Amino acid sequence: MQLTPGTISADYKAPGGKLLRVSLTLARQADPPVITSLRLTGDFFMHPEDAILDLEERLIGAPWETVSLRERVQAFFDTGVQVIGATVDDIVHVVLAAS
Amino acid sequence: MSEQWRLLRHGARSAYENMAIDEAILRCVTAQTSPPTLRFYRWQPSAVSIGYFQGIEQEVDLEACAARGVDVIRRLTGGGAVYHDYEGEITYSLAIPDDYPGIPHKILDSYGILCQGLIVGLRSLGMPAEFKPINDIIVNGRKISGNAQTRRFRGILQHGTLLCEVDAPLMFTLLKVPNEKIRDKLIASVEERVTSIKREMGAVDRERVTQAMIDGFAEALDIRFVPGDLSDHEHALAQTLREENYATNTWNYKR
Repeated sequence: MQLTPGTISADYKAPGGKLLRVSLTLARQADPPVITSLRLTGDFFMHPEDAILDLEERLIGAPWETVSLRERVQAFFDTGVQVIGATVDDIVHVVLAAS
Repeated sequence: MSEQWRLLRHGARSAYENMAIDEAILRCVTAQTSPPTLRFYRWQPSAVSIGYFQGIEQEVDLEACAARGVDVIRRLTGGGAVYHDYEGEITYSLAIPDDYPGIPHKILDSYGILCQGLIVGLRSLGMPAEFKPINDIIVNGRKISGNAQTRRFRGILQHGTLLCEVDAPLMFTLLKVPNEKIRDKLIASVEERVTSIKREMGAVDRERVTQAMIDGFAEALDIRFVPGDLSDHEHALAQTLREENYATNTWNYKR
């Protein structure tokens, strides 16, 4: 991904699962900060694969805090997508771990 | 009654051709213009493949690959980065409709069933192979095979590797390591956690091993194989997919 100034990132190996890597940018004038761009990569599986774009879109514009993120990731999982190697909490965890 | 599948025993091709052929077969199997298919193939030149969701620059030392003439390609399937050595690996792919008898809708469960072909094959060669979720096959606690699946066009494509010989230092030359300090540790850890046909059997007889896998699939999934070739349509489709997708930077650098 194109590294824009202010990009923060994190890697997180989900317990019993796969490696999740996130790069994101924040609008820090908001409180809590708001995600303005996000890219989730790693060796997980997601079916259908194209759904990754939907997940990323749902997270852009989200307040960077646990409750809002969990709500959005859970709504994504509820669409019936099969994610293998990462849970809702794993994805929330890596997004919040970015520094 | 056993199901009839086509068996393709392909030689070595480029990464771009191989991934295009796998997709072309999947499309034709699901369009019912080709029968369920098991294919064996090799990589020439040797190549690194990355999972659908991986960042190419995060995972691959592109300069090191270029310097050694190693191709780099993004797969249609998720999972991790793999170094496919021309000598070091037997690669297979299988394509079936997604309503194939006995295959669970739950993808995690279907790995265990489709991997049985390799497991039965490895056991027939004297190796105590077992399935290890999510998508690995292990022998004596060490990984010998990694597998990856996609479901598209109402079909299932699973491809995977059987390690014949491991070169961990080369692997970590081509793949990125988080930092130089832990390179040696990673190499040692692969040597500890990964095994190969050579390590288990002392030598690699590719013909014998491949035949054991074919017989393993036949037994595990109750298949009768008919040797065949790609259809003209699959050939043409694979060429288009290679040129318009797999060999393009748009695809390979999309993440």
